Amino acid sequence: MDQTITFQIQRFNPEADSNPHMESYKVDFRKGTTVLDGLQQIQDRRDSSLTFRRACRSGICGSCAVVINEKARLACHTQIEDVQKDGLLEIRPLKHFSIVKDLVVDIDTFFERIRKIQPWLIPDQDMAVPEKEYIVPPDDFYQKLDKTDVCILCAACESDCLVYQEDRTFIGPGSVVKAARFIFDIRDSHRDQRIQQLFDLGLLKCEHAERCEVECPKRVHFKELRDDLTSQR
Amino acid sequence: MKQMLYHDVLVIGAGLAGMRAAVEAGENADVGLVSKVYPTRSHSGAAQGGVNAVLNPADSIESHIFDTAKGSDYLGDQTAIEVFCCEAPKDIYELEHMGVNFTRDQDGFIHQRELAGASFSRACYAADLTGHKLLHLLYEQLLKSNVKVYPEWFVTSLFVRDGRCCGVVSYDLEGGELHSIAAGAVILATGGYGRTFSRTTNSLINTGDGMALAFRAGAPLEDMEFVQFHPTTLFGTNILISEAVRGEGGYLRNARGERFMEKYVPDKIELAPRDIVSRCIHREVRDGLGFEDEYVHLDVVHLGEEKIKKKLPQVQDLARTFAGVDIVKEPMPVQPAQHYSMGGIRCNVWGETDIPGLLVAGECGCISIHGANRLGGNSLMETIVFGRRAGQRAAEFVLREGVPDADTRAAERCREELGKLFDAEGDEKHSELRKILGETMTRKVGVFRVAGEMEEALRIIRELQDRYQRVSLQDQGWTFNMELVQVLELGYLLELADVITRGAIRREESRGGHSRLDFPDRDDEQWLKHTLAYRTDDGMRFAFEEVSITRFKPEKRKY
Repeated sequence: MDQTITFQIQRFNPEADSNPHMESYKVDFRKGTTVLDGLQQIQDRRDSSLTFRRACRSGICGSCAVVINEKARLACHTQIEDVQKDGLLEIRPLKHFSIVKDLVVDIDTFFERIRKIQPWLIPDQDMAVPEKEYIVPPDDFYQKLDKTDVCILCAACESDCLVYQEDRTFIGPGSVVKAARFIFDIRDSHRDQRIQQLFDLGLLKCEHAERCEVECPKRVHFKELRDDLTSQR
Repeated sequence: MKQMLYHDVLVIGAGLAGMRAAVEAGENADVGLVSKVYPTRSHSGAAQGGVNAVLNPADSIESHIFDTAKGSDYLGDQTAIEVFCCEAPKDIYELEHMGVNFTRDQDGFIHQRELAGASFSRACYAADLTGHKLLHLLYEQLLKSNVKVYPEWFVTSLFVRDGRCCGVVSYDLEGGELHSIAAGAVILATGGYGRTFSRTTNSLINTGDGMALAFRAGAPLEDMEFVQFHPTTLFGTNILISEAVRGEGGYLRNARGERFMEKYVPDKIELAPRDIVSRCIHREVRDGLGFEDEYVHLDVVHLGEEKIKKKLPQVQDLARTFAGVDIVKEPMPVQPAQHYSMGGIRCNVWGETDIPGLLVAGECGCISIHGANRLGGNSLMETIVFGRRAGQRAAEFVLREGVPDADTRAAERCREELGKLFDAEGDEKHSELRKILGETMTRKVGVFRVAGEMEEALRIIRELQDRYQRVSLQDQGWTFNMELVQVLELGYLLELADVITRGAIRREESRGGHSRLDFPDRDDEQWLKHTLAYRTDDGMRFAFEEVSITRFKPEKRKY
């Protein structure tokens, strides 16, 4: 019951190639076969030098984000039959990051931008730390926190971001989500400073493209988040 | 390759245990953290169900100790379990103060859920994403600290000099170079070996690296035959479906629609411990009461959409994406698969191993808290309690013992060895050998074991080890050579499969996760002891060690 599809993959060997180039491979698939399964099949059967990141294979760790038919997605979370176009699937590395090899890009810049927004809880230094837990009522505010801390730092949103494409000083959607996680945490004492920092780092440059929301594997609601944060000023 | 790096404390592995150890040691020492993946890609993030601690005044530390000891089928060391259960509550509050977003009750306190084998609801949780939230919290703390992180650096060997561990050789994937990193103390926090089995919940990166490295360096591995098979993993991919599903009220059903666990464990039903439920599912399927001779159903339709969305959102997503099932409307297909390694590098309650300067934390160690079977919620807590302790002890060790002489030729020697692999012309493919290993272990050293099958498994492992000598590399570059990494990982897997299988053949009883059809009873007289495996020049040597029994005398384990 297997069908066949052609994967067109962007390859680049830094030790041999001067430029990236496309190569084609035939892949067998059926209902349920993911793009990651396809990549693994090529690596196992045809070319063991094909290089890509992967770990959990279940859409939780964020390792395998790549551009599949022009949209950034998790390879393990994407079924071939859902995205193939006329028997073809095109796979490229994430955009806006420099290529290390094949589908592996240098994501250090992404983590550096995350670090910029001080991604750790800053409780009020003047208040005593409780003996047990802080009381955090499960209200609407808490629901907002709950919706942001599902992000797995896969950087797919960064690849699709049109603002970041033109302007590398833009803070990027990933960092906005991470900052929001603390802005909506009642235990954090730096809410105002964090919101101001987001504006300073260019939050308003967001062109409302919402491409980040479309393919986010964790369905983070970027538009809602951005609107909420912009209204906080 | 010429560079000699140095850190007081060097942690290998950036999952929960590794990051907790690094952050702790970082308070008093200069720390480096080496990980073969970016920290938040670590497998700790896939844990779902919960993290145990006694918080409620109606609960008691004694009860947690008893549940853990009994859950371990009395092989857990009770002195260690006592330390664990006593310190867990303090660690939960510390985690919460750092910012973990636990699920709350109506009044804003940390809510706790029931998990299997627990006599009280003591699993703190964050929806069904507990591991993810803890992992990201520790990553935040890591960013805040001064720990130097080396992401995508793969450790190829430990170096031990004059009996003391003094560093590692590591392959920087992006830079394409081997480096020697000298250290006052090394903490291994590299997780489990799930990928020895074809059916496993584990990530592709769980290849037992630290266990194999320590074993090769002369440290004994303890209780390796005790493998946990989680009863509910999605048929097809063996992706984990949390115990929390049963904790929230899910039912296991056979092809007749019966809640078959009622037959086997009428008091606990679905919430019997994992080893027991895995065996029961196997039995149902074997007796022709399963679906497609492979799986049973896990049903939460009766919980209703609202509860599912709130408490089990990730499970809902996993079932939809990987099994095409909407759990609001229909049951999920589940079967047992390898999940956790009870065994590991022998260590004490401070993570110290037999080799001075070498400590361990988390799943790659064996203290032993979990004995022959681990309770849900205890592994996440283990990473925190013992990650913290190993970090503290490593820093103290370096302060006391000072800096060892570095081995300046270690990286060069390693490069020569690996160079042989690059030049090799054999025709064996690592992916093929890995596939055969996985299927052999799942079929012959799985939930139910018998001497003949295990001996056959050992024969196959030997053959694979032989064929491994003829593996060659298609990828001849040094930059991000994942083929090289996978070949080295396969070497670790083969070594560990050997230890697991031999330990399983030797242990002629059934206890916890080690279940033998030819020795179906627990035999405390002969086998109430830990297995230790040593690698020597004359081959593998086995020894045994007493179990520490303080409060609870072993009894027949019934639920």
